[in-house]
Parts: sequence; structure tokens; C-alpha cells
Amino acid sequence: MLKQSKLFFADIDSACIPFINEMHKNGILIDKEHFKKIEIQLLNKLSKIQIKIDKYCGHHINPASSDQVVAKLNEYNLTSVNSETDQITSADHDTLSGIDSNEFVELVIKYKQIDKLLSTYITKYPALIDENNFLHTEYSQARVETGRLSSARPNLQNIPSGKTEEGKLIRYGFIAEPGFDLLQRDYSAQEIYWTAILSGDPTMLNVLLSGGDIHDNTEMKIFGTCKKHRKPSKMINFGVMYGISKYALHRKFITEGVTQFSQNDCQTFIDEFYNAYPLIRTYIRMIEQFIKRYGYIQNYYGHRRRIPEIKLKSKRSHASALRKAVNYTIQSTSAFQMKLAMSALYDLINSDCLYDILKPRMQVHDELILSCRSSEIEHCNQILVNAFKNACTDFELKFKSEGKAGKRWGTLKTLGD
Amino acid sequence: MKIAYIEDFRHSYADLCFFGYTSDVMINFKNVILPLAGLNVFKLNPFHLWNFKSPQDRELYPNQIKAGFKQLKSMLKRKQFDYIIAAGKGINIALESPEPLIMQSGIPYISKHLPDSLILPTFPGNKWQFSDKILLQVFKDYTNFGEYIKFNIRKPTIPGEIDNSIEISKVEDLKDYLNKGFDHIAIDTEFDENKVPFSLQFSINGIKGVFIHADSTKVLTELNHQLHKNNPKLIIHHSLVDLPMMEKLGIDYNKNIKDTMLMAAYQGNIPKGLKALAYRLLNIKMLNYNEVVRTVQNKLAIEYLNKLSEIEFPNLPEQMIYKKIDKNDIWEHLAPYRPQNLNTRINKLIWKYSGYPGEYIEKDIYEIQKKIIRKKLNIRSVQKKRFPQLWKLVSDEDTLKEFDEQKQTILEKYSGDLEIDLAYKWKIMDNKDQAIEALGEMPIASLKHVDRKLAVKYSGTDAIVTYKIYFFLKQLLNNYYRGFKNC
Repeated sequence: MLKQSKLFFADIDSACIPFINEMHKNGILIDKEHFKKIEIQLLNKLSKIQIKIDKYCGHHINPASSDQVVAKLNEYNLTSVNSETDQITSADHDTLSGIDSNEFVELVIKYKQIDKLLSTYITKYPALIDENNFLHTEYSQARVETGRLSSARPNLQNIPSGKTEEGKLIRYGFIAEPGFDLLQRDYSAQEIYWTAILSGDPTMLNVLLSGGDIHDNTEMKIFGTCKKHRKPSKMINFGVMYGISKYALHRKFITEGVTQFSQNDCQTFIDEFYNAYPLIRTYIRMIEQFIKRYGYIQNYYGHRRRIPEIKLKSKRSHASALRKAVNYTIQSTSAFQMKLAMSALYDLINSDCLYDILKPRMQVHDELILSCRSSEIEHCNQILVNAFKNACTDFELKFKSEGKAGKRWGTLKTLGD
Repeated sequence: MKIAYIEDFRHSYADLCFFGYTSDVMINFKNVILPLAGLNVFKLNPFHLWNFKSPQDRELYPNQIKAGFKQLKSMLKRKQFDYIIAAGKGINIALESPEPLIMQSGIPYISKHLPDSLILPTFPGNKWQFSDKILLQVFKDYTNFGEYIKFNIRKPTIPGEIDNSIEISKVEDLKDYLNKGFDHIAIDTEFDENKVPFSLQFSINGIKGVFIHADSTKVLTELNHQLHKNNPKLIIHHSLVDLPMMEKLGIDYNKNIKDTMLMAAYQGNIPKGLKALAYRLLNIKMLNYNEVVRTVQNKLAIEYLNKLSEIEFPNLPEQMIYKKIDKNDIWEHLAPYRPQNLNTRINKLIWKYSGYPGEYIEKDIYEIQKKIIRKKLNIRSVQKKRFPQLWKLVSDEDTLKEFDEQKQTILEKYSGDLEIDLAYKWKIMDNKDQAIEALGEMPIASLKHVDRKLAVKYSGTDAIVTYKIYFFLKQLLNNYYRGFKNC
């Protein structure tokens, strides 16, 4: 039987509405000058790349037009390992990154990256700010089937990860108002924790209970090394947890620059993962039985998602439905845990009358960002720690959260608990 | 009784196909899966990723494809079913292209293609009710199934509009109205495009709607006081939009929120919009915002356009576009393209609304002369710039004669339609920067421009329906999630 909380998802959703409303109302301060400076720099870069492309082709070509790029690639007789046909039919990132090193392709990829940065973030955000330079996004709880929050006008959920250069560049432009600091908190390895809890896999639970790292453990079990194959181990963990196939894992490896493994190796890794954590496979089978019987799947808090495609006869659709279901149970449960933390936080702010000290700003991916009076960082951080800790206390395994603070979102420094 | 059950199955745009189950005492069970053919492809396959008419794409379902949709339609016609249960949006579009509201209503209709059958449109919400157990009923127990239809599918009714809203502008009136207390209240707000609130309306019984204008601040303060005093469940459709507006109006009560849009999302297979839900679940046809403001909007728009038509705009500069020249998608030189003059486009928009004045403009003369040359010489390319000698062949007499022949067509084309949405037509028009530079943006009408009675009726209905839909959804969700009993 799937594990079930005593809390009911609809109550959680209702309770966090005022907090989301606060985030919407408060917005987040934007450093307009930073975005302006970056825009000029990037536009200069773009024009330089454009000149190089035109020089390479011998005439003007628009790198943003996929039709023109595809025609050019075929003219140069280039082939991509990620293209299903001999001829290149698309100019998306996957296809282009599968082409052997070629100056034209590299230039186009670079152009597209900068163009996307400009159009999606750098020029868009300053255009949407209010008279006080605050950016207000519109959140919705009903748009995503997993129950996660989605944001629009502008979409803040698609900001690249803070680990990438682009992510850092954009985050640097989100700042705290004078006299305040940004306070960020997120759950560490939240999805892995939920996988361990929901599947009940003893190995995984023991590693987490003893404070170990699951990626290190996987690396040790599969590769027999420590910290040498962390990247592939991490990809195996997150992929296999959601029922990835050997083809998809191989493709993922190549996209991420891990090229030394074949498809057969990938199958071996998957098998070894299941040998290392046997109850994960059982859990996936349990979900399969559940959706076959009921036509839907539910998360730990009882929220449901219909999976009608499980009734399709084709193997591909069946596998995709199963992946969707497994993914849903973990992601959706994580999302509701975050909602619980948000509603707990709202109650604490309300009860302690902290409206002027601690202000909810935004929620991006699994990060919650607030701004707090600079003199009250420690006190506010403790409030956040408690809210996150008390969001789910049903299990022996306690969730860990990580906090950061700073003036700019891009340069936050880790805080102790 | 002969029944056909057909459902479309789609989990992505690529995977649309139809399952058909036909049953009656004479015919054995049949199972056909049909590809998308002869349908409004744009609606179902908006990105044109798949061409279901091509053999490669049909290979997606190599063993299942039995026939195209046309065959299904003719089969249905031949068998003369009493009822056709059309489960899903795709099959409903296929059988008939009714208005979207009717599509969502679940109210039976007769398709022009299948005059002998009553089509019972059901949607994914009902699809799962029909699955397994119900299908067994279809195939084994016709009597019970007939009963099922009787009780579960509503007969066609004339959708009624609710007109039971009042405006309260005095504190005493509000106190009187709320003196008995209340445990549920549905609240809705109206605001303009700049998010300035216009009104707040509420319902405490699902029968009557109460409208409070944003200017009645004392009444709003009293309402806020009453909310804190009674501590009711606050029913809102899309609370994240209405809560900020309520705060702007001075209502800071945000406890016990029950969001009906979220509830519709929990059900997972019904529309989330209030109007669609009202029509489908409650059989209430609500007024559309555009319909309410259109008359006023068109008046504002025509004033704006008339002012614009007096200005003479210069011709737009020639634009360069790429052109594909052969089947292998090889790109040719840039092709020149001249956008139509703004005056011409503005005039055409005015004629569409107020009718054609009967005088031809230069562009029409050009078009007509082009037609004459094409007719005379039987050639396609007759551009005046490239072949000026051809234009010498056209006499004024010929042009006038052709004018008279064409006049009726043009008059019909621009016959004037007061229902036309000028603001929308203007919004989607491109290359209008010159006009915006000259006169600014087109003024947008909102509820404040509309007759107050109509505004009260429109807004009050929203609150009434939100109240009603909450209890309906609660009951619906209770069948799906047991926990909703205590919610």
C-alpha cells in the first residue's frame, strides 16, 4: 500500500494561499542598472557573433531562424548523433550539440544561448517592474498537475540553476531592499529523502539516517570509487529513481559530456542500482499495479493525478505513464511539503507580527526566498529553520534544509542552522 | 435501443485516436481505433507536429487503424443509433463543431451529419465514469443503462441567465441584509486592465448576488467587519487574483479560503473556468465579459478609428522577407514585400462595422485592374512595377465595368456588423505604430463604462455561481476523494 499522511492536501493548499498572495503582493526588488549593463554587453557579443557567422557563410544569415540554420547545416553536409534521420531537420539545442565540432555550429549555439538569455530574462524583467522597481510574478496552484506552484508574467520558475553562469548572472540582479537582506532556504536532497521514505528502501534509509551522501554510496556500489564518478552517479540516482531506460540514460550522459559509457554499460548501471536499492524496484512495481487498477496515482498527502495512458497498449506509452506516475509521487509530495512549510511560516509571521521584519518574496524551483531586516537575520533564520523542520515530522528520518543570506540572490552565503 | 460509445484518447497531441464501442441487440461488440482524419487539425494538432494523413504518422498505430473518421461517420449514419455517447472533446469536434460552451456542457445535441441520433457529449470527467463498470452495463444490461442515461445526462434545456442581483450602497442596508449571520460567503471582484478594482460582489446563499461599488468604502468597511465577526468560509474562484483586489478594497479577511478553481483542478478532468463550469455543471449560461462591454467598446473604438482615418499616413517602408524556392527547402534571395497602407486598413475596419460607403479606394482600383489583366492575358504575375506595359492594356471603361460587377461583392464584404469586436480586430492588427504615435493606444472599455444595471447583473451572477459551484464541486470531489467530507 502507498504511504498516506493524516494531513489532507486540500487543507494544505488552502492554508498556503495567503502566503502566496503575500509573495505576489511584495514582489522582489530588481537591480535595473545591472540588467541594463548586461543587456549592452550581450548585444555587443551578439553582433560580434553575427559578423563571424556572416563571414563564415559568405552572406547574411539569421542564426535565430531555424529554417535558415538547418538549410546551412545540410549544405555543409553535417550530421548529428542526436538526429533520427541522416539529414538534419531541426536546429534545436539537442541536434546542434550532437554535431561534431564545427565553427558555424558553435557560433550558432552561442548566439542562441545569448539570444534566449536576452529575450527571456535580461530585457523582459526590467520591462515588467513596478514604479518602485519591484518585480511581481503571478503564481498559480492549479496549472501544474503535480500541485507545484507555477509562475507567469514573468515566469520565474525557468531561471537557470544557480550553478550555471547564466543562472548566476540573472540572480545577481535580484536584490534586497535597503536595510534588508535576502534570506533563502531549501530542502537538501528533498526528492532523495522522499524516495527513501516512500519506497522504504533500508539501504537508502540507513545511508540518510547515518548522515551519509546517497550519491557517494551509489558511486561506491556501482563504480567502486569515491568522488571520482560523482556526476554520472548523480545522474543514475535521479534517472533510475524515476524509471529511466538505458537509451535515455546514455543520451543524458552524452548531453552532459560523460561519453565513456555505452548503452550496455548504462543497462548494467541500472541493474546495479536496483541491486543496491532493491525496494525502489518494488515501489515502482507497486505504483504500476496501483495505476493499472485505479487509473490514477496519489501522493503522500492524498493529491491525485489521473494517468489514463496506462490503458494504452503500446509499450512506449505504458512506460511513459509509469515514469510520469513515479515522478509524480515524489515531486508532488515534495511540493506539498514546501507548501506546508510556507503555511507554517505564514502562521509564524502572523502570530509574531513580523510583517515589517520578514517578507515573503518568491518561490523558485524548491527555493523559498524572503527578505528580512539585516539586524534580524539570525532570528528570522531560526523561524525559517523551525518552519521547514516542522513541515513534516511523520518519520524517523528528518529532513535537512539549507539556508543562505546576502544582499543579492546571486551571491548568497550559507548560514548555519 | 441502439447505442454507440466513442471516446477519443489523447495524452498528447500526437496520440489522438478514437475508441469506438457500438452495441445493440443485433450488432456484436466492435472495437475500432481511428486516426485523426477530416478533423479541424489546427485545434487538435496546433503545432502541426503530426500529419495524421501521412502514412508514416499512421504507423504510430500500425495494428489498430481500421478506418478513417469519414468511415466512422458513415458507419454511425448507416446503423442509425438512438444514442451516440461521444466521450471527449476530439470526438465531439469530429461529430459536430458546436460552440465551445455547448461542448463543455454535457447537454445532448443532434449533429447535422447524424440526424437520426441523439449525441450525448461526455467529457473526461464522465469518461472515467463510463469506463469499465458502465461499459459492462452498455454491453450487458441495456435497461439499466437506459436508466443511467435518464438520471445522469440532463435533457437539453434553454440555458437561463440569472438576474437576481442588487446593489447596496448604504451601510444600513448591508447590516440589514447580513443581520442573520452567514457561514459561507462567495466573493468575486471586478477590476480594469490596470488592476484598479471596480466592484466587489458577494453571495451568502447562492440565490442573490450583492454588488458593492469600489466607491462605497463605508459599505466595504462594514462588510470587512461582518466577515471578521461571522468568520465564514470564504469561497473564491481563483483566489490569487481576487485576494489582492479585496485588499485594495479594504477587505483583509483571508481565512478559511475555499478556491473553486483549485477544486476543479483536483477533479482533474473538468474545465477550470467559472463560466465553463457553470454551464457544464449547473446548466447556467453566464454573460461573457466581452459581450457586456462590446457595445461600449465598439463606440470608443469607432470614435478612435474615425479620428485616425482623418490623418493621412505615409506608406509603410518595404520589408524584406525570405522566400523558399523549392521542395528541398532551399532559401532564395530576400523577397520584397510592401505592407498595406494604414489608412486602407483603418477604413476597412470602419466599413466592417458601419458599412461600405460605396466609394472605391486606390487599392481596390489596383486589384480590379490586376484582375482584368489576368483575365485578358491568362497570366499570374502582373505586378505594376515589374510589367508597367501590361497596365497600358486596361482602359478606364473596362475598369468601370468591372467595378459595377464587383460592387455587390464588395458591398456584401463590408456590409457592417455591429457585433464585430473592433478592439480585438485592432489588437491583432500589425504595423500600427504610426497610429499609436499619432493618437496613442485605443481606449479600452471596462465595466465602469457600461450601464450600471447590466454591470450589477453581470458581476452579481459571478458571485451566485461561485457559491453554487462550491457545493456542487464538493459533492463531486467527495466521490473521488473521501477527505472532502470534512473540508
